[in-house]
Amino acid sequence: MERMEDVSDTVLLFEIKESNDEDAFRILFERYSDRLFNLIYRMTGHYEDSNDLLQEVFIRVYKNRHKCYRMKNFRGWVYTVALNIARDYLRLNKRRKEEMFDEKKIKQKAKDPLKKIETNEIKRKILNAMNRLNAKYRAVFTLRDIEGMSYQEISKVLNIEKGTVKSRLNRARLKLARELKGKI
Amino acid sequence: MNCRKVRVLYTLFRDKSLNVQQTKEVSEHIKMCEQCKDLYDELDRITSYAKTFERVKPNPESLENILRTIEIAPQKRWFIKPHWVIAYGTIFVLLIGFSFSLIHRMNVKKQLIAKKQEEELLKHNKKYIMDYGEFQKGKPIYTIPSNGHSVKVMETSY
Repeated sequence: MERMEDVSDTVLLFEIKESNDEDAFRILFERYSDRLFNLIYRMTGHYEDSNDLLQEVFIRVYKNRHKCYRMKNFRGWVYTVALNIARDYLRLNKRRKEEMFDEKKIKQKAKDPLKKIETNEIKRKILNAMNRLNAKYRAVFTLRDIEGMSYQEISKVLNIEKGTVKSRLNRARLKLARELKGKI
Repeated sequence: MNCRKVRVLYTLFRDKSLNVQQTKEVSEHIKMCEQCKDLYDELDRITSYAKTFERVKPNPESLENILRTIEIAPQKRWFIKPHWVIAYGTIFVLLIGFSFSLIHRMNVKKQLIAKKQEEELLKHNKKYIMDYGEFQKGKPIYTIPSNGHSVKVMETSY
């Protein structure tokens, strides 16, 4: 018999829609929460607010359960929702842009403590520089270089041409490189 | 290839998505131009670091908060959906009604045909039907129950 964890998103979404299956919802959450949370967190740079935004994403999934199970690309849709929610948050909280990434949350498994500190410092600088990027460049950079998505997937999630993805990514990388030149 | 053109191609160069000619040109330019080389090295380092960013875990209470908000609860699972039950039920009742009406019509028609045949037969045998109590003369021959009324069949005078 097929385990619930192995079933496709469509089946899980159908179960949620059909019988309000809490287990199916839990599995869907486990499947996507980490990735979506990271995406939101990299976009907003605020841990607590990112948790609230993640909750908003899943509430939206539940509210749209009647159409979600029919979607051909649920993954793309849910990433788009997360990005839009993060963008809305950024628009509303421009003042909080100075509040940068919480270092406590960035853990490094390096065995050498000195190396660990150094690496964390570099990452913090990169994240801070990322936070100063325009949201559209940050989204592409996060999806490609942190989430490891393909150009095709990013193009679907952001609903832009593949060529635009490439040019935005290049600009994002160049901006970061120029800003961090000699600092890391 | 000038510096500007090379920088536009950095990402594709790093992702090895350029064709052989372009790869060669960018590579040669980077070797010759120190500024472009420094910028490319920086870009390469940032990209490599970005890939090592560890995943940050969301608050473990997030899921419970969501479940509380949406009040997810198992609903009664119907073998057949209620609206289908209503639709099928209506069709069934209509079919039964139609069948009874059809049977009734057939019976009435049969009775009418039988009555007509009897009348024809009586007429042919020079007999006619009178309502009970109407006849004064003659001797009744037999009784036909028709529409719940008794009638007497009398011998005609013609």
